[in-house]
Amino acid sequence: MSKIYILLVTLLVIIIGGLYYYGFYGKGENVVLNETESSVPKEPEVIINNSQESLKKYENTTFGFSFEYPVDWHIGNDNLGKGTLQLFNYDESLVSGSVLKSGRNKIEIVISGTNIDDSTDIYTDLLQEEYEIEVAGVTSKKFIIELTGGEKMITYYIPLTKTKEEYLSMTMYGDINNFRVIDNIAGSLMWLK
Amino acid sequence: MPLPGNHEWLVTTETGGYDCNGSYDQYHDNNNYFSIDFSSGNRADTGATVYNSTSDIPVLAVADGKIIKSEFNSGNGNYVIIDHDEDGNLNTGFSTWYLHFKYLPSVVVGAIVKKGDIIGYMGNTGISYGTHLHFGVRYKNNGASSVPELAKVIMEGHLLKGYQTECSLNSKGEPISPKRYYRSYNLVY
Repeated sequence: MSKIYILLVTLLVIIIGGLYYYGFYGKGENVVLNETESSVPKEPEVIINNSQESLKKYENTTFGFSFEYPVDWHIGNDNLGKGTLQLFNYDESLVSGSVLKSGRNKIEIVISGTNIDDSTDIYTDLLQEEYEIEVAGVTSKKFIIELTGGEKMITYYIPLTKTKEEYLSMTMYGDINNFRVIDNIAGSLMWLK
Repeated sequence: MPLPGNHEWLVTTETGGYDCNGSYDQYHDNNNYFSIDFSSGNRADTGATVYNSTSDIPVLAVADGKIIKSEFNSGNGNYVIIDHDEDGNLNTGFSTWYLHFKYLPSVVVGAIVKKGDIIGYMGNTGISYGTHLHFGVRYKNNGASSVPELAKVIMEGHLLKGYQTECSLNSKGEPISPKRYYRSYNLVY
């Protein structure tokens, strides 16, 4: 009886051992490769979904334009003409001050005049790169501004009229990892007829 | 104080740039050392309006003077500077700075304002991530900590450096959120 018992236990050990061996080595290089891949740290991915379901549309009939923005953003104040139009990807009612946690951003849109003077004094510019870029069929300007302290902003100046007397000024603030959102918004800008 | 009377107002960043959690805001240091952030948090006396972050909270001139700047830029947002010696030159005398207004300021450059006049409404424009007022004082356009004239400036009975933040604490004694309010005795508004 004890011999049968020992035989059964031995058989069981062999079977379990075999399965264990197969689990580690039976798939050979694939398993090792997967382990190697997962051990390499990856940059956090920013998932941009440009499908229509992930975008909302903003229209302003007073100034005659529209654009699309991500569904997880929201319009805050819309005082365009007497103030700013603001978009947020966080709940701005829970925040105060001029320091923002990572991952959070704000976009501010204003109607500005022909004088593009963005010297700020308190928020001193360290570096300003200027590019000419076509937005919605009109030649526009894009500024990448770095402030003392390392904070960055991107501003688009888009002529509202052919006479270029007024500009749509769009500035993005906050986490630079999300700055492509303003590029996408500028890319979606359309003039209303 | 640049905010309505019959209220107490929450201070979130003190001169030098620290809040009650020890977080540092560089924009309240160096040439802007003598500046304070007031949030929209307020406590109202009986019968007075309690404002929230979406209210139109009036921002008031702290003293008589002439408007020398009233505009928008991407850093300051909608902002106003008052020149208190009224000579049109920031490099002489005292000036006060009011940033991040909700709307384009209603006052125009060159206008004379009296203490307590409304010059705008607290907002969240420019480098600002929640409704607040950045209020700063300069002497000869210098707001650094080394300026002796600024170390003596008193507003509503407190030195500017006396507007300090304090946090409420959790059960472990860790700071949670600002809780120190300062009374505005403004009689005009």
